Amino acid sequence: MSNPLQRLESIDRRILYAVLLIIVVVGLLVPIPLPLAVGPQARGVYEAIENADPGKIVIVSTLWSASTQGENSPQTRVILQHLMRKRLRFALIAFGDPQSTTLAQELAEELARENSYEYGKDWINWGFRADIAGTLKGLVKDINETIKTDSIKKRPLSEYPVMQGIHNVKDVGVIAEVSASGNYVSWLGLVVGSTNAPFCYAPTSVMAPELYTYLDSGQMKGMLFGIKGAAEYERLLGIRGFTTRAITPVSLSLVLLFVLIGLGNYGMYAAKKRDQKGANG
Amino acid sequence: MNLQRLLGSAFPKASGSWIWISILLAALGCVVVFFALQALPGRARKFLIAAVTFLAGLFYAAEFFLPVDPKTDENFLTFAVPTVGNVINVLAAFTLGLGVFSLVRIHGTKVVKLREGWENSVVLLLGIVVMAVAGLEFEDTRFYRSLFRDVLNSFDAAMFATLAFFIISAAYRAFRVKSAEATLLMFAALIVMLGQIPIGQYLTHWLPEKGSYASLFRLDNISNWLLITVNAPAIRAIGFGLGIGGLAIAMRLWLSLERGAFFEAKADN
Repeated sequence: MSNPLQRLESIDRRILYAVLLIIVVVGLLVPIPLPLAVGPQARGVYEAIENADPGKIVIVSTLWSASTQGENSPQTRVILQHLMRKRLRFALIAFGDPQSTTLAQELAEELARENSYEYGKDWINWGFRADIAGTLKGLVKDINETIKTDSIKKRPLSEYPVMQGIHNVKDVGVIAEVSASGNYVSWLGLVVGSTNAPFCYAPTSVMAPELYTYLDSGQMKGMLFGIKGAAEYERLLGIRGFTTRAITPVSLSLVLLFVLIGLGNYGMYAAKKRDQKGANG
Repeated sequence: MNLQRLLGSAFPKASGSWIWISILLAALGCVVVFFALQALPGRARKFLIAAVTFLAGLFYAAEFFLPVDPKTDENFLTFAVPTVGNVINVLAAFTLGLGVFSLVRIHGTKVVKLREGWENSVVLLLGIVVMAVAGLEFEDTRFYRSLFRDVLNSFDAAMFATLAFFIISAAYRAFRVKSAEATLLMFAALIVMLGQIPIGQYLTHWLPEKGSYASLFRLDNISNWLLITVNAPAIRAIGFGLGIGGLAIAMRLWLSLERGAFFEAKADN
């Protein structure tokens, strides 16, 4: 291991951590203006909301906590921004993690103030539900009977103007799920077949590859591929927000990953060559 | 709808003080059932639990498979779906309580017996108590919001963010070109990742997005092709396997055939 090239095979992990930290901080402070192609997946979500029936309600389901808010929060934000821009009424519902309902509600309240959206009239929070399957089966048949009360004022859903004419999933215009988990199986299996509402999904990047099968089959109309999907959506909305800036450190981190993989392989190759020389000579 | 009427008359909607009386009666009923179960011999208890499990599972199966009235798109069980959903939500909420109980029991014992790392357990137990009190009693205060947003959220996000460092380190050590398969995997991964980021897309951004053969060579298009044409069928195949496995496990659980089921050991004694 005296050859510096061979040392590339085993760089101290603390050096890797330090370089990554520097790259992320510099990337956040100095965004690089690079073109971002909008993929058909993000366009699918955009078109689903763009073409939603204004007489129906949009369900925004969230299943994420602070741990994945780096990706899931911008995804929720851009979807809510689009809904408010289109003046579509929407309902939040949360599964899986009780944090989810609070985090999504905070986002909705912030955007509602900016867009003059009134709680109860334009949007509502159906709250957190511990059981996914039972709740979704119930939504298919009777939303008011399943949810009963909202999570902020604890009043019956039927008292809110936003719920007027909304009885079951047939009255839903779009279903959008922002998730750090595989909840899409429940939506696809229990709800999507009972309604004409397009189903869109916004997962974390690590989950996204497993969803292409449902995009391919048409069961899922669109997908936001992690933070990159949210950045694409910002581009579609004509916004240059946090997500557009945050895509720079993501890009730089991946470039670092490529460089490190290259260096590691070169170091391995150099070590192998030296071993072969030693064996021959 | 006769079943709905029958149940409606047997359990009329409670209001006023009747709600509390109903809750009290239900709680008392649960206590009676609990002690009755304890008093039963092992085999009888197992049979009873298997029967209840079967009936509970039968509801959704029957509701799904029984033919519906074409006018209403419902069968005689459909009316109960929201109620059964709420019952399941209550049961699921109990499991959250069970989780807290389990944590308190394990870490409480650790603290009382001063086992190694008991200091961490004290912090955990204090965290549970403070957060529970803040959430239940001071939900609309700055104290709760600060605990939730500034402490819990920050810790949670920081924990997950450290994954990026481990991923960099792990990928650097794992992605080594040692075989043809590993090389193929590495190049596919590189193309997919490059196609997902602006820097990668910039390399071929001068090619047309679509409508020309040249567009096929854009990194984002190659990445999409790999994800849709190569990755999706593989995921679908895995999904089929998982689905069949899941169905088999569901049947075994529903029919209480799963070995190691609760009370089985006692029942066999």
